[in-house]
Amino acid sequence: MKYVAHILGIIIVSSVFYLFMNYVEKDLVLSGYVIPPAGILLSQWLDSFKFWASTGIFASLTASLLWYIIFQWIVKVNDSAISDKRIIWLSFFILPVIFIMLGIFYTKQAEAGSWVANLFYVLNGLFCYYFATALFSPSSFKYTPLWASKFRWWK
Amino acid sequence: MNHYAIGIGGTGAKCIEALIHLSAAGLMPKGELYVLFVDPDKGNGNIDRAAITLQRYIDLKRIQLGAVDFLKTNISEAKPNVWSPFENEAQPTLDKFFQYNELRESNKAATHLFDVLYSPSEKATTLEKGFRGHPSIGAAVMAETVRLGQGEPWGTFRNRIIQDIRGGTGARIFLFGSIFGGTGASGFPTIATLIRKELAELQQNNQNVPQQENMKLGGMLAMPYFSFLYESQDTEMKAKSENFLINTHTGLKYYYHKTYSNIYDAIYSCGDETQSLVSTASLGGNTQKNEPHFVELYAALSAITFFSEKDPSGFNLIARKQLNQLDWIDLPDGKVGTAIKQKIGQLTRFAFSYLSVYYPMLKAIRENERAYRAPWFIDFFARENISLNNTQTSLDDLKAFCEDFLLWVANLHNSAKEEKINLINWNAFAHVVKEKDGKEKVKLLPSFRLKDFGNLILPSGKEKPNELSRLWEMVCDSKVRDSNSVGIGKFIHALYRESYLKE
Repeated sequence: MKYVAHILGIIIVSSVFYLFMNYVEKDLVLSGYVIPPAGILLSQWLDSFKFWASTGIFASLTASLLWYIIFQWIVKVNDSAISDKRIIWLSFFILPVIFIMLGIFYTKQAEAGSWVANLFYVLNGLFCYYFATALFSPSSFKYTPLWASKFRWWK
Repeated sequence: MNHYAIGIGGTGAKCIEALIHLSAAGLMPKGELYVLFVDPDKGNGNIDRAAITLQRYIDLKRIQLGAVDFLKTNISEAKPNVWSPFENEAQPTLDKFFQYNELRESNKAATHLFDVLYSPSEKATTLEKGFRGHPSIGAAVMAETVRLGQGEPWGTFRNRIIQDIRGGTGARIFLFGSIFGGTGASGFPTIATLIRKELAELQQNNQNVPQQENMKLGGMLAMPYFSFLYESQDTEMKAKSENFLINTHTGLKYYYHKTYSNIYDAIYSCGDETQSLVSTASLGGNTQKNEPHFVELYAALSAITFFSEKDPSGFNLIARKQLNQLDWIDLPDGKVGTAIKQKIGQLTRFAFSYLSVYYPMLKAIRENERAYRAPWFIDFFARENISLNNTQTSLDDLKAFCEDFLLWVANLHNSAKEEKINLINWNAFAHVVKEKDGKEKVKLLPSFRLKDFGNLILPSGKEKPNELSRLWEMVCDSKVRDSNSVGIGKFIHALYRESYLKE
């Protein structure tokens, strides 16, 4: 039951980021701020942003689920000497980072406002993985994500 | 109901040691346990070890654990904890004790009787290391010196019992002693008779002391279960294992003719026909430190049975299902038959995991290791503002207690080499080491076999190599909502609770 709740939690965090990206970042912020490059409609540019932002969030979700599955069911803490996994947790950032970079690279440079879109790519990708794992890591590693002990108070 | 345990002689002390371990596992019924050792040899190694275990128990009991089986029973020790009939005598002998030389002048008839009863060597041999396998000496000395109303620790012992009887709490007194040695064989009937007699006298002289219905007296009479080697040229007067069976035969005849039921409400008896050889044959003193034996587990369980039953009575014997084998089913375990396995199993799992995983982790964190590695540390220590430096003594005491317990368990299994004891997989945490003098000794492994944790309790069944990981996760998830569990008590409470043996 606990495991289902954790996985659901990870999915919910990612969904919140997706909804925020779709309705706040895209519709409220970028649509009024970005001037698309010549020959491209704003709606087309925003669709491209949505695609790469979604991919970034999905990469974060995948990294979070991988982290959870590996450290809940594959890695065992039969010895306290092997309980330090922070480096591995940090290395899972690579997956969203790759897709953030791809998003930045493949999204056409706008006349104005590109930097905001790039900032959103970075924030969505990194924070989605961070919050999903800080809030719902396997119990044995629940404080491995940085500062997780400040706000994780449940099982 | 309050409980009193008196360990007489070396075997008595070892039985008390077993009782302390079983109390730690939560097998004692409700009520306080008061412990007293009786031995002329105050420096006896067996008493030393039992007294150290007892002191650790008492120290750990100060930690507020809340409602958990671990260390559930309040144990207090007599002050002084060891009573010797030779308090003021550095090198006592029987003739000095009975002032034989003075007696020769004043009472010739008594002197002659004395000469008939005791040989010259019995009269002249020093007794600071015990009665040397001669209960006839011990019985005379004990009968002359045990006075419930005078001096300590008997004064407090008597007052507590009277208070328990008057207050309606009730008292159960249990004596442990061997039938085959010197001190136990002499103290077992003598001290019990004196307790009965003194309380009867008190009752006659004082209307305020109610009937003895609230006071029951029981005892564990250990039959021979070990032997030792000694030099054949050695002519010094001492206990010799070749005499154990003769002593036992004579002792049993004594109890038969004396109708033990006039003294004891219930007697329990247990021995082992495979008398295992102890590694250290010693006259007494600190070197008399014999390894724990599974018969002592039975002895402690008999005390627990006596303390728990509504109306314990009779002469109780026990048998095993199979000769040369001991399984959980062979232990006297009430009607349900799983409590002993469950509770000893839980304490074994707790001690194993604490020593192999949790204590080393706490040590590493104290030495600046990153705390996030152990989520349970953040939950039970950091968030509760508990400093490891301030709690180090308690954590070290717990470590020492767990080591004592696991060594005791390992020794129980190794005690009877020709018998198969199928209780705990002790090889997961201990091994037999040959020391420089050629003697074998059970020691804890420098690194426990962690993969065996899930199969510690026998029969082992399906392999569970990741049981420690499961425990780690459960402790990380654990919450202790018991208001009587405070400080590091919460952590110990959680670890103990989660160490529960799931069948």
